[in-house]
Amino acid sequence: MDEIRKLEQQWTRYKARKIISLLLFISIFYALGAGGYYTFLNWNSLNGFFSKKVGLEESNRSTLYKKSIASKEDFKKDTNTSIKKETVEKAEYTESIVEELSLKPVIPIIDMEKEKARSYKPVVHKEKIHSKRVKAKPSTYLTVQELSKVRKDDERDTTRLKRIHLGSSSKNYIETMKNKFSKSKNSRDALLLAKAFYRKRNYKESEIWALEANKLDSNLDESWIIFAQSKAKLRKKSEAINILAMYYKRTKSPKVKAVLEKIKMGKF
Amino acid sequence: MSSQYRALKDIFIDSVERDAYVDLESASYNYKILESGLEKPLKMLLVFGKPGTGKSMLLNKLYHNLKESREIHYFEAPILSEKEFLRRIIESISAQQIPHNMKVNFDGLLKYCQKLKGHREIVFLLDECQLYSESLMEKIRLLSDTRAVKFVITLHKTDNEEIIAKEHFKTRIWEVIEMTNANEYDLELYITKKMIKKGFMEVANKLRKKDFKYIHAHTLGNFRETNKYLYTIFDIYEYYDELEPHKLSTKKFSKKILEMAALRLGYIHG
Repeated sequence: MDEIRKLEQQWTRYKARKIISLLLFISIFYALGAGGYYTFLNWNSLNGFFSKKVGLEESNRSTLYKKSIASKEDFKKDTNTSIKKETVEKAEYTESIVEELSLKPVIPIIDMEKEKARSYKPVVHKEKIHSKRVKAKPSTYLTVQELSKVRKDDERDTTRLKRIHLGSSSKNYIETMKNKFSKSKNSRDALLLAKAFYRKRNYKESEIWALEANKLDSNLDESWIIFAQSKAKLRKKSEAINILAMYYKRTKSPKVKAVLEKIKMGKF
Repeated sequence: MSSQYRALKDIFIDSVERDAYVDLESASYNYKILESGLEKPLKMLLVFGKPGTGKSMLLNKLYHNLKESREIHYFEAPILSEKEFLRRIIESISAQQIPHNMKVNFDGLLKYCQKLKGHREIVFLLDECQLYSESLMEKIRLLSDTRAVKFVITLHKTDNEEIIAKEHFKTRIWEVIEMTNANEYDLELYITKKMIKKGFMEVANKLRKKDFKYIHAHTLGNFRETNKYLYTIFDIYEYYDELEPHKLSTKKFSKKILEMAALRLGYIHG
């Protein structure tokens, strides 16, 4: 009798354990299912995360464009001009954007200061500015008169736009390249340094860096050319010719041949 | 009034009694092979398989079916002493009691058997032959060579016993019957037929497919294990029937008791 009771207690424990493990299994199953469903739903965004940089740049460009339109429109809403004027302004701005897009290359940077300044100017003034502009035609060709107007406008507009200075000073550039080369020990970096020195007419340095590039990669045409040209500039013409002739014999590079001819003729 | 489950559990007490035999498809097939093998001029027949697959039951059935029609002797328990074994053989053949102070001469027995060739054919059914010594097995082999004596032997299927079978009998055994565990269908038939045979149809009908599946999962179709399991199940049933009958369903077989029995036998652990 006692044995059966003990057995019943044992069975109760067994059953409880079984139920717990079943619940655990179900919850794990659901968690996995939910995780899978979430991944499925967000697959596109996850996929986008791993997409190419080019794709990202394009999307940034379009975002900037959209933002510029949005900011312009928002600002217009704030002005207390009449509805009529607002409509005219809007039309003008749309026209100006269309003009910019159709007649100028797309620059993925918006000068917000310029935009702001333009937006604050009285409407009459704006009308004056844009009165000379030519509306973009649906056709791809412009008349001679239209083209001359566009060119004039372009010239004026570009002077008004802030110049984007992409380059850096040559000294900084050389320092940067030297640092870069010390880390990378790349023949291309050495060649860029040789070119930079050559442009600065520091032919001794350009000779050294061209030689460095040659050591790292003996098949770089340009490094041999810079090396020979530097030699020639340092009044070692015969040495330069010999070096380039030897290199040409090995590679048969037409570019090297052309430079060789120029050095021989003293035309570089 | 005693519980019906007391009588029911007794059905599953493991025995090789003739009425405990249940006619299953696989068992019937093996029986036919064995019976027809005895009609052929074979020296020996080997029945082998894992314990609890019904080897002894098959021999028992063969003995009871044929004892009226031919000279057949069944050594249910293995006789480990050579002296005793030879005494039992000569007593069975001659139908005479040999005094205990006398020893059977094996050469004399062989000559005696050789003289019987063509006149008589005596069948000996030997169970649990894996327990016999190698020298005794050799004597059995020599006796079978006289062709007056035929042996049906059972062996447990293990590596060692297979070697015995191969080395001693490979040229003499012409018929090998391998006994295997029952599949789900056969096990269901076995349990149901056993219960119906004893008049417990109502209880047999309560058992559902999934109950048989559960039983098979734990016993793997081994008849000895199945008997043990069902005995335990009805033992627990008996307790509840007598002391806590409200806990028993009248409609379906109790899964709880199936699991409790499995716990008691160590098939599952609480």
